[in-house]
Amino acid sequence: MSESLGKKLLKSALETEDIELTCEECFDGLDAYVELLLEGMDPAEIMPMLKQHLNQCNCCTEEVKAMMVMLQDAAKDVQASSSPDG
Amino acid sequence: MERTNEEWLSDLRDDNPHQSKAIADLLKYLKRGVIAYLYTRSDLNRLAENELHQMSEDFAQEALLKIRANLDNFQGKSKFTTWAAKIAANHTISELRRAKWRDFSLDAITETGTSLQEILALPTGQGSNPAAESERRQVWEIITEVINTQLTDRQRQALVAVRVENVPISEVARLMDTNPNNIYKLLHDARLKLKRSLLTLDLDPDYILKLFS
Repeated sequence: MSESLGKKLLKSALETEDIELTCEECFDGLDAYVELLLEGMDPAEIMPMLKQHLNQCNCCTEEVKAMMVMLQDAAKDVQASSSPDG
Repeated sequence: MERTNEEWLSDLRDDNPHQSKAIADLLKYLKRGVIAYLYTRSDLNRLAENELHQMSEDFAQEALLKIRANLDNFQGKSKFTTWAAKIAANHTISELRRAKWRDFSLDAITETGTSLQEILALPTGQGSNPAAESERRQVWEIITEVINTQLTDRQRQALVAVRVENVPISEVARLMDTNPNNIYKLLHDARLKLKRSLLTLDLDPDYILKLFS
């Protein structure tokens, strides 16, 4: 338990950047970020600072996961209604 | 329900004859998304189906109010429905967090003796070569020294709350009577102090991580 916690803290410290987005700045970009994810793109290449913030922030990561659940569920509706049998 | 972003923004305005339909469509969309998310929450497993649906109804309605109040803030960087889902997700998670952490006290961390220091004081690495063991010890000493002597009390308290107790940043902010951005900054400054001290060892960061794998 202690080494796992310590290792997570160590990793987090070593991956710290001098300038990082705030949670508010991250939130502003989450809708664009999630759409990139849903399109199968790598947002880390296009929005690296936001990706870096998510690596450091469980709160914002949780919101991304929630959005993915919500939007993937909505996409099922669209697929169902556009299928020949739907 | 398919509308362009412009149609959504227009139809949701008060003077638009399509407003009622737009609101109904958006609410249906939000409710579906919220209930899909609530189903993934293991902490809500004890709730009956009708309770979950009522919860999703409440959260979707509340999110809809926020969305309508902030239409002018939509910047068009995504689909309108994605932006709306973001607001609904944020609202739902915030409400659930507030309920979950309502009775938590930051003082309890000190009272029970649970602290980052105690956890980090436990032995590291076992049975590997002496050189690696020595380096591991140096890293551990630096982490402990920074936390004990270089962090401010607020930085230390935020670090323990978030990293050890897994309290969400938003809740730590509420408990410390500030906003999430300030808590993130406290943590960022703490991490920077740790990083800068660790780098004085002149070891590659990847190597440092491998020492503890």
